[in-house]
Parts: sequence; C-alpha cells; structure tokens
Amino acid sequence: MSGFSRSLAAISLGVLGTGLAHQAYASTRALQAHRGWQRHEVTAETGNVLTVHRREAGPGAPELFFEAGLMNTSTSWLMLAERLADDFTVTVYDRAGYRSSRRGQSEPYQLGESASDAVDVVRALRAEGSEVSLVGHSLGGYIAHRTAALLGDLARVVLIDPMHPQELVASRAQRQGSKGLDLSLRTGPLTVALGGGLLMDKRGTLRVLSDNPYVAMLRAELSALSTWTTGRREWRFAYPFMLDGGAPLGELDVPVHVIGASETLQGSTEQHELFTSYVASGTPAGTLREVPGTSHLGIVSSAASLDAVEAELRAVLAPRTDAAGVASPVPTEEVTHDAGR
Amino acid sequence: MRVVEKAVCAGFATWFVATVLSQHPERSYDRARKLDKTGTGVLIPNWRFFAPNPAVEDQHFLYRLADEDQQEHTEWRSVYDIEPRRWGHALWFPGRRHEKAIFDVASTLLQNRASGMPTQTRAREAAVRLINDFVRTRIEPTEGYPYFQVLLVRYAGYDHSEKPVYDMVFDYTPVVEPVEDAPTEPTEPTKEVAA
Repeated sequence: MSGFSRSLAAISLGVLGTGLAHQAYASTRALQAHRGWQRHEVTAETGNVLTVHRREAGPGAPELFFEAGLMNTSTSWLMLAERLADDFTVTVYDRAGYRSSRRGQSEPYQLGESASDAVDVVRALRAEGSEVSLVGHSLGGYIAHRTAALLGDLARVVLIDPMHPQELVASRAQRQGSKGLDLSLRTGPLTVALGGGLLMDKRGTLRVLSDNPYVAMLRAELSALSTWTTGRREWRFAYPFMLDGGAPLGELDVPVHVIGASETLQGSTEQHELFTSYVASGTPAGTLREVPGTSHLGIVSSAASLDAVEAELRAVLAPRTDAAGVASPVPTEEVTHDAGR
Repeated sequence: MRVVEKAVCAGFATWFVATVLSQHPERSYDRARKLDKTGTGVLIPNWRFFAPNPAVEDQHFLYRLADEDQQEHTEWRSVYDIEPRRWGHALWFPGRRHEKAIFDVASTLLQNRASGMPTQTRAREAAVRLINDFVRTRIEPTEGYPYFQVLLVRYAGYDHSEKPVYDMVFDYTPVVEPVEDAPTEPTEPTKEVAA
C-alpha cells in the first residue's frame, strides 16, 4: 500500500469517526428534557408515545398548547412559551419521532395521525374547565387547525406563519422553494446518519437564532438523526399532498388568528389570500396580523422579534388577569398518561 | 526525507477527502469548502456540474416603461438577446460570461425567497439593484414615461412549444437615477406573475 493510500484511508476513517461521534452526541443531546418544565409522557391512541413538557401558571389559568413545524421540535417554542408562562399554562410537545417521542403506529404516516396525537395530548393534560388555545407554526399550524376540528371545545386557534395545504398550487415561489426542501429531506437522513451533520454549514440558520437561549440545543437537533428521519417521513406525505392541492380547510367554530412573517407575506402575493382563507375558516372574530422584519423561521425562534411576536400573541389571546400568577420554577418530573388503548 | 514524504501524502489525501466531501448535491453541506481560503473555489473544485438539477432554461429580463402615474405602459421589451450557439463557441465564446452572470443573478433572486436568512436577503437586495442598474443602461427612453419595471422570465429558447414562465416583476424604478449622496435603498421584487 502506498503512502498516499495509507494516508487516504487514515484520514477517511478519521473523518467518518468524527462525523459519527458528532451525530451520536447530537442525537443524545436531543433526548434531554427541558429544564424547569414538568415532563409528561402521553401514550396516544395511535400507539405513539409522546414526550410533553408543561409549565403551569396556576389554577384556572388559560392554557396554550404549541405545535411545532416540520423539522422543528418543542425546543423551538421554549423561548416564546417561557415569556407567556406567567399568565398562561403552556404545553409544548414533540410529535412522534422527534427527540424522545416514539412512533408506535404501524400504518404509513399521514398528517391525520399527528392531529389525532395532538388531540390526545390536549385531552390528557388540560385542566378541568380551563380555556384552551392551540398555537401552531408552519406545518404545525396546519396540524393545529386539523386538531381543532377534531377537538372542539377550544377558545381559539393561533397560526404563526402556517403552512397552507394549497400553497404549492397557489404560489409558484413556494413550489420552487419546495424543490430545494425536497432535495434536503431526501438526502439529509443518510448524510446525517453517516456523520454528515458535521459538514452542514449551519451559520445561516443559526444567525437568525443566535440570540435564542436554546441555540445550542437547536444546533444539536439540526444534526440529530431523529430530526431528519421524522422530517422526511412527514415530508413524504405532505409534499405530494400539497402538490395535489391538499384538502379544503375544515370549518371551525372558534376564531382563527394568523400571525404572518413579513418576509412570507411579501415574498408572494398569493400568501395573503392563503392566510385569509385560514381566518375565514373560523368565526368572524379571527384576524390576520403581520410582524414586520420577521422570517418564517425567525418568527418563533429569534430573540430579535420576540417582543413583537409576543405582543401580537397577547393581543389575540383573551387576557385573564384574574388567573394570572407567577409560576415558580418546577423541577423536572415525569408523569405518564394513557389515551385509552 | 520520510517525514516530508509522509507530510506530502497526508496533505494530498486531506485535499482529496475535502474535495470529495464537497460534492454533496445539497449545498448546505459545503462546510469543508470553507477550507479553501482563497474564496475562489480553485483549491476545492466543484465537480457537481449543476447536479441534481441542471439548468434547462435561460433567464430573460424584460422591461417596460410607465408614465408618472404608473398606469400607462409601453410594451415589454427585451433587455438583451441570447446569442444563438455556433460551433466556434466551443473554442471561443466570451459572451457566455455575460449570460452566465444574468443566470446567476436571476438564481439569487429565485432561490430561497422565503428563507429569511439575513445573508440571502442582502444578496437578493443586491441582485435587484444590479439588475435595475443593468437595465437602466440599456433602456430606450420614451418621453412621458419616467419609470421602468423589470420582468424576469424563464424560457427554453430552442423549444418554442414550451411556454415561458413569468417569475416576478420588480417595483417601479426611475429611468433617470436620482442623484443623492447616500446610496439608494434597494427595492425588493414583491410581485409574482401568473403564467
């Protein structure tokens, strides 16, 4: 074996080993519980076992349940949810496959599975008689909307820069952009499994999130294999579903509020119409709002726009000052719920 | 001598591995490419050849003039024409650089439009400014039409059965560039055009 071949083998193995170690570290880190949050486990009717994190504001406080977007987890909501935790009981969770949530469903994935799981999470954890609102971002916005149709008995639905099932048919810009995302999600899982997460240039993404106190966890989740495999599973259903025009939005008997990122709304003229159709699917009290200077990702995870997004959220959430209380730090604890299998 | 030989082998092996790792079809895995400190891509060449989505269309910029109220317009006019290919172009075709520049700028405008990354936002703003300045130098002025508007079109060129795809129209811009001390604010293209 020549000197070059030996060097090549050694460097290749070194690079592969470093990449695999990085992947193992990221995947392990993504399993960690969120400090200061109660940890619950909900076994849904689908067989999925979901990890849920919750902070309670006090008896009678209104409740917010957060639904994250594609390739995003409960971590993406922490900064915003903690801002609201004094006045609202806040619950974030990971869809099956993300972080420590496990998928037990044997049938092929479809978005209805996630909506069904979200229903079980709300039913398992909501306090008796409490006012509940759903908050969803991106794909999580559409899932929250479908969850609301199944759940009933809600105060409102708040969709933050939501994905719309017809956006790829209505907007050429979105359709063009989806090709890039499709390539990422087709090649990502294998690349990350082989340690390619280390090769990922995350600076662009992390610059938007640089002031987020959870940026280290968000960075690790970008290299975690579970994020990519679960994202690919969801995308494999969502992509052809949206290319085919999706499905009509269900009618809800609660207000639907949409808070759009300015870049999304200005990036395509059709986006305003799509968001308006969300608002129209609820009762007349729904609103469409725009947060200036925000992007699709930054609107929930960037500290720079946190004040503006929080203000818009509080504006659409009915204030319940009588129930407000200061939440004391809660030790991490684990509670198990079973949705009735 | 053996130490030097080993160091040279290790250097070439590292270069080879970095080059191979930089050929991932998804450009977000380009971190190893940062090892090329020249910033030119000379040291870590790109052998992807536009894979997995090679370009099959040319980008065309059209413009039209608008009156003061931006209500009346001229017809859409071509900013430049794609030069038909000849055999000799295989040996010498400096004009291709011009078309490549147009293609690259148009790609910057079209890619990741909703990503929200600050670097991409700045790149799009710069691309809009560049195209507006480029078009301004080629405008045939018409009296009573002080504004112009740019339209980005994708078109195969050789296959006339293919319909052109209208990608975006820019905001109105003065034909005569306003003279200011400070540089003018770039305008983002905000509208899409239905095919």
